[in-house]
Amino acid sequence: MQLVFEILYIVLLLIASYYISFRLVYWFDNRDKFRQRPKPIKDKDLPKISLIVPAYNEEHIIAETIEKLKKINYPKDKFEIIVIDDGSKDRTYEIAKKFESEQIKIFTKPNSGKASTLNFGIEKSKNEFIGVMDADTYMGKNALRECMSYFNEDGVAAVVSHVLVSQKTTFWEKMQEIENMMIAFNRKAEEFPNVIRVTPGPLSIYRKEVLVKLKGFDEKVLVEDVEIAWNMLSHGYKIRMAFDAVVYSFYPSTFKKWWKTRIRWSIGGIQTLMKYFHTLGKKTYGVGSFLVPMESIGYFSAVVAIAVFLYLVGVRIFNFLTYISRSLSLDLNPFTRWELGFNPDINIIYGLIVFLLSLCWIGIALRQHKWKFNFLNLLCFITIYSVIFPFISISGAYKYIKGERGWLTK
Amino acid sequence: MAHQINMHIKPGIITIFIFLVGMMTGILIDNYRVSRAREDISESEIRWNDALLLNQHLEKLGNVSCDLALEENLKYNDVIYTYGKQIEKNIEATTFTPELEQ
Repeated sequence: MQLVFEILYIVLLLIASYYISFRLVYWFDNRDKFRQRPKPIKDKDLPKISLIVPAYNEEHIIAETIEKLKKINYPKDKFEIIVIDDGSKDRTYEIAKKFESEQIKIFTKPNSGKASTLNFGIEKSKNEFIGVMDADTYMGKNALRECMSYFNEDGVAAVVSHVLVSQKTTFWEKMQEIENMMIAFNRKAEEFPNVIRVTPGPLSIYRKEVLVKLKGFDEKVLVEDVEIAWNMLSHGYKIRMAFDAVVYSFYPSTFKKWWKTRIRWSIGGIQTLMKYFHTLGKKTYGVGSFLVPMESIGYFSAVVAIAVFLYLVGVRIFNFLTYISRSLSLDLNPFTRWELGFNPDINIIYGLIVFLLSLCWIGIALRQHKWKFNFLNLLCFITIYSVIFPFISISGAYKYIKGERGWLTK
Repeated sequence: MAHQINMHIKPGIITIFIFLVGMMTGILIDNYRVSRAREDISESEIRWNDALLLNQHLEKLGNVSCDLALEENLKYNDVIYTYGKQIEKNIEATTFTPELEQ
């Protein structure tokens, strides 16, 4: 039993160190290009873009979002905003309707989910590029221009933005801030082998002809932004990340909301994995050789990690307490031979080295963002926040098996 | 397809390297721990044998004069003193295991 758990422990560490090494290797090999921007496009050469803003119960923010969009640095004649109210129960449509103009188009339709709303927007759009932006996102003034300059490269079907947290008041928002910086670092590193796994909802730009060719967003999958990215990659298209195209989005402020969102993402992740599982090992670019195996291993690791962690920690605590109590019963000081009692074996040392590697990874990622160092937040991120993720994966997998889907979409 | 496999090579090598470093460091520390335990065992065995020998020796002395017993004890004390000096030297030579001083 002990041996089985120890082997699983080593396997988990191998997976973790591979996961981290992958990002660090591609960062190190391309560190000169990491913050390099493509040549900016002159105003007259900028392509036309339709920015779709799906909105569901966004009355509190929709006006502000549209006002800010009107001020972004992009030629007005090359930029249309399409706000689609997805059957909101509040005044989202009425408020948005007040902004309707030649440049801003407002639509409403019965509630049918985000993917369906986006497909509706693609039908209504007239331009060669489609932007997708969440209604609760604020775009940096030059974000759109930054994204567009990446389309000069052949084969680029989508460009993703650099999503940061808008409000950092609660514990969960502060943790999300660190996580988003880590995600941005990983995503940029994943750009080089062309395995970016998601075109995030807060802001992503797509080539319309590719979206049409791929039949738009999959309405059956809870995470349409992940599915479309896998779809594009499996067809040999490239996805790029504009590190300087910064957007700010709102994230769940309480544990309950945060958990619900994560479960939804987890179920959507499994749906996408199942859809593309047949590509495993096949010539489907980064999907079959990286995304499918990594995602599968991720879910496997989550299940195994909890069991292994509980068993090994339990055994170690039991052994340590036995050693202490035996020493005390013999009237001996248990700390005179601490190295025997603590027993730092091979597993602990290897785990410690992988942990140090992960600290380097976090440090490098946060340095890219010039993050203001906060020891307590970082400690909480490593010791509390990160530890919750295996539980999310397990809970998501359980709900997926049970067939729970609908309640999470709204 | 070649590119798909190539992208795993460097991270794979680093993963194996980290694994080997982890294992080797672990083995080194483990060896150190084992040698310390062995040292403790052999030291206690020597002390036990010393005590046993001294006991047997004193039993054999029987009616022999106290001067001889005293002389033997002094000789034994010299050995213990030399042994103690050697330990003291060892303690001064290393700071890695300060608990030895206790």
